[in-house]
Amino acid sequence: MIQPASDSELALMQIIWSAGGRAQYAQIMEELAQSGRLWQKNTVITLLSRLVEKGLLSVNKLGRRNEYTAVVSEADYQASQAQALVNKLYAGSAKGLVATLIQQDLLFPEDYAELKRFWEGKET
Amino acid sequence: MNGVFRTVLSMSLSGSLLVLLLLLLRPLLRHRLSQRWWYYVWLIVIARLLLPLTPPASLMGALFSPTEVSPPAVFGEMTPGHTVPAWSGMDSGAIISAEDDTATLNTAPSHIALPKLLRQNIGLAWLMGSLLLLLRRATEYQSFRRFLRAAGRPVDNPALLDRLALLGESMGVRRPVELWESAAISTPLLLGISRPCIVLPHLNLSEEDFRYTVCHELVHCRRRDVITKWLGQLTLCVHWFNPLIWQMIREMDRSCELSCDEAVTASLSAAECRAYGDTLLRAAGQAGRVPAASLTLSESGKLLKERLDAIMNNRNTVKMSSAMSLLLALLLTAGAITAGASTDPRGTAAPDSPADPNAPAMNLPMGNVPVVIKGDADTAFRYTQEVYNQSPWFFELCWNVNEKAGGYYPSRIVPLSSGDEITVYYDEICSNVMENPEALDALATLLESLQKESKDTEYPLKRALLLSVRRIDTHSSYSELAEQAYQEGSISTFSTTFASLSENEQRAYLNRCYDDGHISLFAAAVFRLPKSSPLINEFAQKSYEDQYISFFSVLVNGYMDPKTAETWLNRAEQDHRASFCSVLYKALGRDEELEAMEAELDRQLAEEYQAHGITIDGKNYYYQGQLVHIFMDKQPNKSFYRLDMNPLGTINIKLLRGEDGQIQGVDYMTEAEVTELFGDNK
Repeated sequence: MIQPASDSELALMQIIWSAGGRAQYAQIMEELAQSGRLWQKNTVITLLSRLVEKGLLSVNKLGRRNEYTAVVSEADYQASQAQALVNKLYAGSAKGLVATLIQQDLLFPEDYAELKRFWEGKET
Repeated sequence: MNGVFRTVLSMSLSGSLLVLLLLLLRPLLRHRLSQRWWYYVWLIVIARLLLPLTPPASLMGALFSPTEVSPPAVFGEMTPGHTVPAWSGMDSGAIISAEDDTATLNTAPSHIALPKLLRQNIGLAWLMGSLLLLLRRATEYQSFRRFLRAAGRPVDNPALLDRLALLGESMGVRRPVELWESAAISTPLLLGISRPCIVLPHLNLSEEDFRYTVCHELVHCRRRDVITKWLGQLTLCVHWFNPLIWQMIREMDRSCELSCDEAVTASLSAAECRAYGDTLLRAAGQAGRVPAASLTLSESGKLLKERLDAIMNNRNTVKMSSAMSLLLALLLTAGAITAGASTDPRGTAAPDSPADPNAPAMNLPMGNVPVVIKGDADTAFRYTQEVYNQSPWFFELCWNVNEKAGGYYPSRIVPLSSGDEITVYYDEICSNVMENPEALDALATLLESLQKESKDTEYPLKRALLLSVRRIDTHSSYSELAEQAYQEGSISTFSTTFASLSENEQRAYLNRCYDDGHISLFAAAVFRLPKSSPLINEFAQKSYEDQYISFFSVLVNGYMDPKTAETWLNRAEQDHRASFCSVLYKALGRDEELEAMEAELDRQLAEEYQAHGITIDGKNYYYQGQLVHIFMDKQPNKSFYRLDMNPLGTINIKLLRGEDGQIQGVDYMTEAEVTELFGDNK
């Protein structure tokens, strides 16, 4: 089972995912600064080592620099979290989730049409 | 195994001698040496207790040899079956056996089975005890860690982690420190050696409490106190049979906390020390059970009291020079090495510690009117220190020192004309004066009047300690002394001499204090002015016009008569000087008006903010629909209107105010400004 990341940890994971699943520490700090998160060095190191402990990241030493690699892909992570959400809120029924999305206007007709095409393509 | 145990016993005894020595010295020297010394000195003892090193000719070697050549005495090895000589005279079984030979032969083995077995396997018994204790400590620690994890979670708020990181940087802890929150504990603690982790019982802490709590734990982290704790526990596992070592571990834990407080408060002002003490008190709550090898912010009530006391008094005690402290430590190390192998193991059953943790010691706080309560109710004493002018003598006197002062100072009984007598302890520099009949007369007169004045207060004069004496003959020497005291910043001498100066001289000094910004000297001087003195209103006028609120508040608080204060209040109200109004409302005890005014100010400020697009909802500020992280509203003269922080916020904003104090706009804070703001907090 993939352990869920906290909000701050997720921010770091997203940076690493969007960097192709692999990022050096300096790169992460730079991305953070660009998104307006001026976190302290030790704050980031602590959060990164929590992610390593959770098994979401692995760390390689490149000389004196640390390079962090995502062990779990973004899609896998989303899938596992979506599964957890469906299990927790909709008693395992994905239909309930889709119904909520449509009712709340979070799923537009064109999205729905695309999904339908995707689903029919899968059936044949 | 018995051979190993023999070595352990010898180490236990020589270690015990050191422990005993330190426990005996502690009440005598504890305020002369820093708490740090008292903490690290135990490491020397631990080294003695854990390292089986003995010089070829040790001090104890000579004592050790006679017991070695009489094997059966206590720990002699015995061959099975060769029973009679071994146990004769050892226990009651032997005496009974002398009456009935046949009975003895049958019953004796069962009588002596246990002690003999024990004697033969004493080493094994020791090893079992050690391993059991070690196992217990380890499992206790493991299950506590699991318990913490189950009931807690890592702190995810980057703002808090940032504050921890910045505090760590400022305190020389460079490595990352984990931060957890766990409802399983009631006081903050530090765990772990390779990856240190601070655990807080909850995050509902004020900024100040968070800072002091984290500072305290970071000092533990910097000094690797967790390793020291484990070393202590290891020593305990080896020497579990020795009650003195248990006492030593208790002492060590205590000095660990005391020296940690000492390190935290070393750079704090008196007011900050008080705030730190408040944090300790708040953290205390109800002390929960924590295992031996973790470091907590507060422990039992008794230790807490000692710590609070030490925090407030540390800076006032006379410490030995660091060279002297080092020398003492070296001597002790030499003692530890030469103690070497020890003698009769019965010595380990030494009496419990004679050290009385509450033994009162001399604490002489500086300042003009300190009144402090120390120790438990039965040993409590209050004292004050002040310079008194009994013309032509200036006596620097404190009362009531503890009776134990006799151990530190010579004394003399001064008879009073009332027939009473008062014991006066005196510093050696006063010994000449104590022989001078004229000075003694003046002292007696002074003591008598002080006794009369203080008789019906809750703080009557009983024992006095004379710290210094000066003879002042002429008026010019008053001025000289006042000048000297002013330059040295010696508040009580200044305040006493100030009272004897002419009004013009007094005015000149008040002006100097005012210009130099010496608020404490100013307060001490104003305290000596009669309530009717025109100087009070003169300086009130001056500070009001200069908008120098701190000096104004000294004049108003206690020294100004209420009528004058009312007049000033009317004026401040007319001038809309809110800060002056609040000082005056407070001084006049008009709390309701004060609250109403503050509420009104809050409302006005909120309106001003609203006009510039900032809305306030309780403690939250919103700007352009975003929750504000740091909100800063600075006055042109650098003091703050408002500075608020909300860790949940996402934007940092500041208000721009013109020279006239009017808000001109709102801007985002730059990174540099945020850093500067945090820098101030270090």
